[in-house]
Amino acid sequence: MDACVKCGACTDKCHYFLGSSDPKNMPVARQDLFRSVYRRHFTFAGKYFPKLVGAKDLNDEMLDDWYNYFHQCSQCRRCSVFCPYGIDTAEISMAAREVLDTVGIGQKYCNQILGKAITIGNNLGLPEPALRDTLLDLEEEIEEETGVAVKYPLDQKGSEILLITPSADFFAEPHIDGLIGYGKVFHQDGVRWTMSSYAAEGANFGMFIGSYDIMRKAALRIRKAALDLEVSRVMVGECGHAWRVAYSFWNTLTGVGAGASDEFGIKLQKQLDSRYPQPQHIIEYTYDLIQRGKLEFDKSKNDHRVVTFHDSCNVARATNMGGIPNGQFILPREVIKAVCNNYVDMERSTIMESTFCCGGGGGILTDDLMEIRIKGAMPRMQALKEVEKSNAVDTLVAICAICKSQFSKVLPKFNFEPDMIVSAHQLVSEAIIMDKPEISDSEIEADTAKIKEETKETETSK
Amino acid sequence: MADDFEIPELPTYLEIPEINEGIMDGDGPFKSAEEFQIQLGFPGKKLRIGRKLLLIKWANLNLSIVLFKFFGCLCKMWRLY
Repeated sequence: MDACVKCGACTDKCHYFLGSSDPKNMPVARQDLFRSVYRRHFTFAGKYFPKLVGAKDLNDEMLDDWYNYFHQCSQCRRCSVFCPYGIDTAEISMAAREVLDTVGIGQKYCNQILGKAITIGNNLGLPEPALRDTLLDLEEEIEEETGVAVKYPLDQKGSEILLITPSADFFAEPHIDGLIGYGKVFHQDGVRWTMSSYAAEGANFGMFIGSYDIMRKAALRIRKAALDLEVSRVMVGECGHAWRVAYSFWNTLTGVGAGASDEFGIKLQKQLDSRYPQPQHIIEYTYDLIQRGKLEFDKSKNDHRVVTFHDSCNVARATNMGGIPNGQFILPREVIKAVCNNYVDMERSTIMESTFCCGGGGGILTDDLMEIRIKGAMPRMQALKEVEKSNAVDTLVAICAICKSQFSKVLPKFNFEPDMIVSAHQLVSEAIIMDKPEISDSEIEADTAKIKEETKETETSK
Repeated sequence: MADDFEIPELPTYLEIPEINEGIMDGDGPFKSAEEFQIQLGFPGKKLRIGRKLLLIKWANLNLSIVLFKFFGCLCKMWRLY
């Protein structure tokens, strides 16, 4: 906390400051809300000469400021990239929210969702029968459209892969088109995979409120599902902070990855196949299949689009993919370029490690914060507007459920089409060439004989 | 939900805004109901911060007295007074 020299490098890096112009939304000022209280109670100078060092008491007025301004931070870490001391405002924001919860001032949106996630198993509160029905409907829809029986298995014991995806993928546009894409990729690979009704949620809002205990409670459902279903691989769908929690925290939370020391964590590590990354992102999986030539695409199916990619902040600044430097930037772009012909990047200072948050991350994707969400989206919208003008970009791809939901709402406010936001796997889904089931001669003969027999029976009954 | 707020103009990339002190002061999300906080193990109601901090300070003071007494005992043992 005391490393900050107030150099100002972070001030114009926060999308909420750029959009709102409120100085307390400068990362340094946001940190100061916390730092001033820390100084008052934990430093000698702050205890005895508070005014000299800018130390302040933690009183009701201060708590109000904390509540407002720490909920105007999406924990995106863009400011940390530019801070010469690497001060992580996201961590400060998480700590402040944990203090707020501890003194009884929780946020409705996060607390309600977490309640559902740790009792029912997903943020939407979808019970198992509803989930099963949704997946069956999806199977029928795809078979009708493509003639291929793509399956969306639920609770299939002994599968190779357990897919953990955000529950938004089960019903909402454009998320569900991504889920359709995952299913088609699994189908083409011929792998046995499943989802779990007990752990049908990749998102983990415990991270947003800074509570390791609650984050662990949510994550342990995934471990239980993986052990019960006896899977050998755990895979994560398109969700930014879910991938951050999986990549950075699952090892100590659940034992997926290295570092587990408890009985069940060790058991899971023995069960998982060490030849694969654990956990693995769906983009890594699809990329790998593309590299090995196991998927075929008709790229012209996406020729009606000019595509750009929005790096989601949690993926960009807190994770990696493919085990290569900058893999989290390279792999999604390679997958997109493999399935469409027209791709263009936005302004360099707004993508990759410098990407701007969508404006709705970090547990603020709620309608009561719509004003700050719109203001926070402004820098991303500006970069998008530039490529729309220069390259006629009409499709924005994201690999994060929150980004997709946020953009669906804010794009129209900036005169874009709301449906220009799509999943990366939606583009995969549209271009993938599916193998139609081959019908053998003996099957055709059997079918013909059956039809003849039925006709005969009908004639006899007449 | 009211949406009668101002939508910012898209400026030339990237314009650093004029400082507008306190413009987002009142923009906090809805607070959680007691039941949702309790199921996560939180208190549910806002604690009285003043009293809590007073208790912490009192505890610190007690610790100082204990340490002072301990120091006194050590001095006595070493016949420093």
